[in-house]
Amino acid sequence: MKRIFSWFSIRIILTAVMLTVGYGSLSAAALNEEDLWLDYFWQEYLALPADQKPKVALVLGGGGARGLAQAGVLEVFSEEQLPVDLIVGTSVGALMGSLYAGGMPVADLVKMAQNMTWSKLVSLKFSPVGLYSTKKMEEYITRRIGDKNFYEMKIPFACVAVDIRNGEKVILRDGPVATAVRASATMPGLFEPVEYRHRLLMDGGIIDNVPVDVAKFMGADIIVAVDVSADIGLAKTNNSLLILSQVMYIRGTFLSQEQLKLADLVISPDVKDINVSELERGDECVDAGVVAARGKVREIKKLILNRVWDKLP
Amino acid sequence: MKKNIFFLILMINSLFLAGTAGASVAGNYFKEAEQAAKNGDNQAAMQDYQEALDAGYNKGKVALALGGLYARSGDDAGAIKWLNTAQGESLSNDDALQADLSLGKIYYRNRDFAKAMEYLKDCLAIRPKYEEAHLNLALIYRDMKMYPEASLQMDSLARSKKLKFEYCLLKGQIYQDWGIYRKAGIYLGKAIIINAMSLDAHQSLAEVYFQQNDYGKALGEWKYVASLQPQALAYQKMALCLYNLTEKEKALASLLEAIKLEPNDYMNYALGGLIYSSGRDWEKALAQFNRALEINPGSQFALYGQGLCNLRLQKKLQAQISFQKTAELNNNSWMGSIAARELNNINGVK
Repeated sequence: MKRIFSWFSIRIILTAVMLTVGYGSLSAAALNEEDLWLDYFWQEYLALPADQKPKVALVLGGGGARGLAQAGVLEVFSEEQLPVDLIVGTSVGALMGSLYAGGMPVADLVKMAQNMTWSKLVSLKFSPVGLYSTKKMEEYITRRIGDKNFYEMKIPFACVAVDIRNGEKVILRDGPVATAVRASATMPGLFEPVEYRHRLLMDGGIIDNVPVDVAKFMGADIIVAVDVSADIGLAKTNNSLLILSQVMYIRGTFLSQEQLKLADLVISPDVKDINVSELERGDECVDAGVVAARGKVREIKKLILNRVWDKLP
Repeated sequence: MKKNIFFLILMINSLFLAGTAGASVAGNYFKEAEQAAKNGDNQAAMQDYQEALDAGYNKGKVALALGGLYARSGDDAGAIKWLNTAQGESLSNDDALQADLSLGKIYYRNRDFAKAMEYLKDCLAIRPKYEEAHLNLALIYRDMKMYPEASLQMDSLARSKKLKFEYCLLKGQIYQDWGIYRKAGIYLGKAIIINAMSLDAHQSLAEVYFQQNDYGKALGEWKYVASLQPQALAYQKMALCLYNLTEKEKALASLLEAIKLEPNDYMNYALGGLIYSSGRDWEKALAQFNRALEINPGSQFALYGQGLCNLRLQKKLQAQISFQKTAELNNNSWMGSIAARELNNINGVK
């Protein structure tokens, strides 16, 4: 009896608290006048013929585990029907971009990001050129989107790697997608390089971590970049892998700064404290991606509408 | 000697009895005060509490009770005074918790988040798993838009059997405000399973579906909300769902329901204008925007709509006036900027 009484009294007290603070009152958001016209014109934009719409590119940067935030960004793009006419990625950005561009449903992409582990992507090899093989990554991609070539992708896609024999930036947009992505996401020292079309390829992040320029070369009219770079000051450097990734990201961050200036809009998920290897924080990364992208939706819509204003009926 | 011992015993006895009688009188006053408070007779309760205090009842307990009484009657200054008095006495853990929690809630109500958090954290110092303190801290963090912290506080309630509904609802609403609609939907759905009649949960879920552009599900939720509590806003939201589902006639019918409830809400007409505009029925759209502006001449939304309709009806001069007013209302806003752009187009300025 006493227990029942205390149960009821707690609920009554809580209800009173909630009512006092406006928790139980009408909590529906009032209508936002600006959003109403924005959505009106957005519908008008969606109804435009394809050839009258600007080509919107999504550029997904590298950053190891932090890149899982890109699944959250893609979730928002999908929910909001924001156009993605081209995807360009580096490293983890290439992995996420290839899966989305290859037709993987965004809900599956999110689940995948939440449950990602290294054992799904790499296997121990102890070769003289790298501790791990990334062959599993190739198989992982193929299982999800099929053994696709670039021309078979649902959304045009490209990724970036570096040829470590001559330091050349290689834009991969022909041939088998899975191998190209694997090459783009091969961290030096740790993963063995990928032999591909007479080249010896490694992580694109070494030379172009957020390849906005590639999207421009490929004819994008509007470029939205997703930057998942680390806060260099927060990174741990207590083993050789972390030191190596730190060196790579110091360089990558420096190079990205110029690239990001070329983008029309940058989405920066708050994942700066997440280490490159912390795949177990995937859920947190996805949430950060959602929140960052959600905060930019209006801006993206306005940016696009601005380009087509005179074409709207 | 025997006589002396007899008198000594008699004296001790009478002192003891007097003390017991005093305690009993004070206790009675306190009980009466509690009863009066329960009956809502605050005046009598205050008087009895004072009597209890004068008769020597535990000062901490009386101050705590008076603090609660003042808080319930909305006299926050009085409540704070008495609760601080209570804290100055040696209180049991339970009483100290009650004092801290009450002070936390009062400061929260008065939007003094720093002080509210101080007291609520004091509660957790006494009892780390004190659910009410976690819940109130979550509400504060939510109001401060510190969603990860709010969510973390809610995690302390995850295993609460008593507060399962409150946990799911507030956790869902935190995710909703945070913009993580997928997770918001999961928690709000769970809240509805526990309490299918919760207006709050259905309303929040309707918003979440709407934000996810899932208009069919949003419409279902708004219909349910309107059936639980008819309100113009619910019908307006239903109209927007139907408009997005290209069911324009039904959308207009929903606005008529909203008008019945709130005939002077300009938004009922402004939304009508929007719906007619999407169907290119500019005359009807204009009439709706004009009506909205009669009610609220300062609506930038309706002014822009008026300008757009006039422009499409080739009434350039009227359009110019409407766009001019729209831009003047707030030229830093997006609506101000698109109105300025239309003005430039009309005036042939590139």
